[in-house]
Amino acid sequence: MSVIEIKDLTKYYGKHQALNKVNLKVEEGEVYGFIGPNGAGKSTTLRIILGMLRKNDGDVKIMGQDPWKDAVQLHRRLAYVPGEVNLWPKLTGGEVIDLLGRLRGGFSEERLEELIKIFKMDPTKKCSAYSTGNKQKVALIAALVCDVELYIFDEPTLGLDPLMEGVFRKEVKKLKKDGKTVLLSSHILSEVEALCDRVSIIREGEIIETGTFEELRHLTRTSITVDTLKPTSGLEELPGVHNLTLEGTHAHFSVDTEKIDSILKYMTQYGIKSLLSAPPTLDELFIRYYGDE
Amino acid sequence: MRSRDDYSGTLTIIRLMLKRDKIIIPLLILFMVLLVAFVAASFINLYSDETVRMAFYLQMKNNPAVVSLLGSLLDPSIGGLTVWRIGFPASLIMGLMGVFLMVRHTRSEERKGRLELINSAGVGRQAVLSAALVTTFAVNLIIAVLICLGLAAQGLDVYNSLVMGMSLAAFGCLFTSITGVVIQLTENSGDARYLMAGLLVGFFIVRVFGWDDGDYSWVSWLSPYGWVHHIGPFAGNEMWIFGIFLFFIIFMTIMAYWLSSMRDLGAGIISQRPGPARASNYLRSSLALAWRLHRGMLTFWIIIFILMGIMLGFTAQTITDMISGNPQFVHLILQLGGNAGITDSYFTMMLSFLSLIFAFYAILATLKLQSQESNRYSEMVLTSSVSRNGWAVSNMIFAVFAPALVLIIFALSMGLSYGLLTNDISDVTIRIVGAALMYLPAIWVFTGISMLLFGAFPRLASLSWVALAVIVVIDLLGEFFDINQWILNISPFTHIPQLLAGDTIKTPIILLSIVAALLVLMGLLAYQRRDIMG
Repeated sequence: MSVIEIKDLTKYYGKHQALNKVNLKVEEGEVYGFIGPNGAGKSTTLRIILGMLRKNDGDVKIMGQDPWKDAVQLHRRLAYVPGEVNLWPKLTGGEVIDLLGRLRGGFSEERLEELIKIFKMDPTKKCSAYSTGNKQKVALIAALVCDVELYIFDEPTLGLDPLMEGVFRKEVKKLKKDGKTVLLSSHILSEVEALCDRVSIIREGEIIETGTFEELRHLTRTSITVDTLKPTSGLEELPGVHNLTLEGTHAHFSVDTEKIDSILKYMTQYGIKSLLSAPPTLDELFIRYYGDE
Repeated sequence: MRSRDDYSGTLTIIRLMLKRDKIIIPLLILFMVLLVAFVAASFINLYSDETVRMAFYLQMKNNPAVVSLLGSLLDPSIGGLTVWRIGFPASLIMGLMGVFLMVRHTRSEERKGRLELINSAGVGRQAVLSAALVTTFAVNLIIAVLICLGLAAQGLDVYNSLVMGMSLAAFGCLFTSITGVVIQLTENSGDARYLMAGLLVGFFIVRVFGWDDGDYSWVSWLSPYGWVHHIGPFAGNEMWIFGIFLFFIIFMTIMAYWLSSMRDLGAGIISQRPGPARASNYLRSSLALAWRLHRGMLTFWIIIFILMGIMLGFTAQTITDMISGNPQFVHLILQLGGNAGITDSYFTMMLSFLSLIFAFYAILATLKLQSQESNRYSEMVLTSSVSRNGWAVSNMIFAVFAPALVLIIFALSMGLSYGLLTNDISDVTIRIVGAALMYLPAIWVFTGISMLLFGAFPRLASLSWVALAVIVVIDLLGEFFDINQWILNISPFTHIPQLLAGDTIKTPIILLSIVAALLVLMGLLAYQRRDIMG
């Protein structure tokens, strides 16, 4: 049984279609990345998983249960960190963590001390006095302090400095080691790249790509900068070569990854002086899908 | 510290505010103007004959119970009657309006982060405060002018009508400027609102204590309600009192700017003391959280109403003495209807008026659910093991019991205070508390209306206030006009037996309770089924 199983999920806000037949499957022990631009439907999907929004059509099963009907039982088995953390202004961070921990279950005292230390959070400050980043930390600690099966993070490192981002990544890796399942929604691609096993890309309410990074990278291009001994020619006609800029012996282009072999073979006839190749990053993946081609 | 740049962008923000409130502001203006015009129209309708009017004037002027609530009738003209009848309620509403608009355009904005965005867009530090003050002051002045026109159109003297309008605007502007100060000191808009409501009620207590024919009438000079009354439109026009208003308005405005220039955006000046690092043992359920959230408002209102009860009990005592000690008032005693004594009718009048305030509190407490949701606090709880019902009911318990508690405490304190002075504690106290309890079903109807709106139409939750305003108008109209019984029946308060005036408990009150319960239930069911807004 998959931890998250979403089939043909459709959601309308009035006339506007927010989700169109979204399919998502997250297996136990996976760290799953859910990426897309703002307004693509990431938060909507997560809110449906959490029983806050009602779906219009499709099947959603979280750990075998219905997120709308079985919300209370389900929520004891998961922890959630929202995209924009808003906390009761008069409570302190420490009180919020304790409260949420008690409401969720699986609270561990040792974890609490540990987390407060590594996130460098001051639990005695009232929530209205926290910066965005600190509120984020409170919500993260409140989630990580509980021992549950599924962790759902919506843009978890938005307000955090790089040091704290690193702390968060370490914690997620720990969760993975403990066999927990993590669903991570983000538009910070480096983070998704570093943490996630598999990824789904959503755009305008539709899943456009799903797979591991290897599978996805296969579909993107490698960027190549080459200096040759003799000026090259005929590059632009080669299949798989895109965005070529050529200045005599200096060429820069991107090549479909499956065509790298034939291109290189072609290049060697001109004598290669230096070769720079950069692996495709998710940024490029994004631009390919969201930029104009 | 203050440069031209501090105010840059004020006009833009004013335009934004007007655009955002293009329905609300005209509605508020219309409500006020129509309210005053209606009262004048009713007096014209009922008392255009001079002898009848004179009789009414004398009757009201010599009734200490009425004088203590509404102030003394200063002039027997239509204008004088209008000013007397609507002066205090209209001042209160103008005050509330000023508070509402100021908070809406400042703290609420800040909370939602819009302010940061605006301020980073090259707008001056004081621009938002300036825009809010200018807009709200302007609304007050527009109301003043339109009230003048509304009265003049019905034949009342133009100059006096203008003075009347301006006296209300002065009150409104004063509380607008005070709100400007308070929002610099508080952390969030909820606190600002109930602190200002407390001030408005508190000054009312002072005014009642210093009622015009009492021994302490000089105390009325300590309350802005008293100032409005002493200006006396249609009865002398003591214009110099506007000077007092102006002084305090300017003083408060300057203080608001000074405080604003000192503090950081988003923070209050009453600095944050550190709190506990761990939650106390009882904070482990949504009910405990709801208590945490409601306790501030509850404590504050309990304190205010204990004071209120003591003051009114004391005043009741004075009034009773005044009337019973004077043979001239024998006919008045007979006239005050039914089996009720003088004090009973006084208490009835006070309870009947204050029940609207308790309905206000009931709505405030219920709508906390709505503010929790729109601020996205509740989703932290709803994504834990707390069910929607659990969360809603935890808060509803306070929305139901808190107004009841404050009402009972008020009745107790009023009864005890009066009882102690007349050495008749137990009987009076029990009767007053009993009479007060009768108002609960009507108050709970408002809890129900707010709950239904929150559950089914969360974006329209503020319509609860409109519902209250409609009831206020109906109750007011009912006093004057021979209104169709079915219109009067819309108001839950029509159905409340006034135990102290000799009514007995009959079925309507049971039906009212059932209606209230049904509304709450429907609201809860609707909340179960809808999307959570974010």
